[in-house]
Amino acid sequence: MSLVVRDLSKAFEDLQVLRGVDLTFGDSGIYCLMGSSGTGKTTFLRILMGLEKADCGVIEGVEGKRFSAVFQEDRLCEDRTPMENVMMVAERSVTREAAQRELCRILPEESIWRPVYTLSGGMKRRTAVCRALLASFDILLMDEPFTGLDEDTRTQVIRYVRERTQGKLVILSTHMEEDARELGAEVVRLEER
Amino acid sequence: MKENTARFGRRLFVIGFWILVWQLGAHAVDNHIILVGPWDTVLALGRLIPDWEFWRSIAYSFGKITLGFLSGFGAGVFLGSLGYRLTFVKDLLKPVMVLLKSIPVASFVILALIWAGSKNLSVLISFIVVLPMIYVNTLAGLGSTDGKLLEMAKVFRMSAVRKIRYIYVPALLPYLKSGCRIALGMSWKSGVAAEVIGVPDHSIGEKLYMAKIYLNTADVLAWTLVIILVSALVERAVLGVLGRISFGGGAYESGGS
Repeated sequence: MSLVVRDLSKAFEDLQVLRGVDLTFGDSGIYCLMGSSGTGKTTFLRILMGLEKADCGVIEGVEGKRFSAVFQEDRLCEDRTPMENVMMVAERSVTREAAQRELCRILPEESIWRPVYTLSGGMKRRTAVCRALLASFDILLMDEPFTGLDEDTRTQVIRYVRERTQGKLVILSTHMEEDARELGAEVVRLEER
Repeated sequence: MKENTARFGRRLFVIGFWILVWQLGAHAVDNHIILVGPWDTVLALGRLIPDWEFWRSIAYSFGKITLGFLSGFGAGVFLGSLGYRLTFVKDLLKPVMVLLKSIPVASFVILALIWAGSKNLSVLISFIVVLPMIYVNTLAGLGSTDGKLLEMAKVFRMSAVRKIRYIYVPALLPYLKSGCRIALGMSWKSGVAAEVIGVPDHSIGEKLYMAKIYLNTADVLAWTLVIILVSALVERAVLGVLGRISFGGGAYESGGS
């Protein structure tokens, strides 16, 4: 069943962030939410994640679905290693060896045994992406997941995301058209209200 | 390494300086009832050490005060966690904790003597002193938990056990450590003070009381030294355990499973 959003609105006190948003997403595929700053991309994703309540509107097709996410900030346990951060949310079938193998695809091996606070911003971002991909999910929500990555790493991570999300629904927010192109994603615009 | 040696040297100098001041003070007073010097204190300690009763008293007071501390610690963490989760419990406990913090220890000791007798007096007093400190620190520590990590845990459907281990415990530990540091010292001070008032048999408090009766200042200072040493050792042990918890779960640290 596809994910349908109808007439979704959300305001924070006097600030109207989303107004009457109507969107439809397929069962699977990658969708890029685009729009200038302040158009409510993050708020929209947070509502889907169940972290914010919409003022009005309907979301269909999320019942019983498992979400995974890359947040706008990395939200990692800083005193733990990337390996531990991944394992603490990974689905049961993911072994340490598998997690190590996956992490090593986008991170230097020595970095996966170090506490996160010793890693660079880009390494933390990649850890957050890998964590989201190794958790069990039906719908993956990513809020500007490639921020802080250099060109080569960005390409590498995009390729990794494409490969790991085959057959799943991915909704991600970004400012860059290029991200959508490289991901082969459908662009969905959230316009300023 | 060089810095450590310098720090150790500085510490040694500070200790040496104050021992010297103590010795000079005792020399100036020249009255063994009012003040004895460090040397006489060490001699008194040397006299006490071979005596079986000396060790028995330490074991007795150590056991009772540690029991009071541990039960106060456990109850403080439990009630603090409950108060964090349930505002009703927090509101309910607030006046009790304020009361426990503000009533003088001496009043508690007298009440406890009436209620429970002298045998378990130091257990009860240590408990009463430690409980509000650990409770307040537990509330503060859990209150400092990163809300963004809790959101992350919600989205990833992390189990309660994992949330406690990876999110709550790291937030709580720094507060618990600082709370423990103060609570441990206070539990020993108040525990021994309670023993001095209640004079239970074979306790450090009883020995201090007897030394006071016989105006044996050297013994008073020797026992005081023992209390400081034992309390410091217990503090080290407890903080060591808490330190291990904070670095626990590092199964991946050295590069493998």
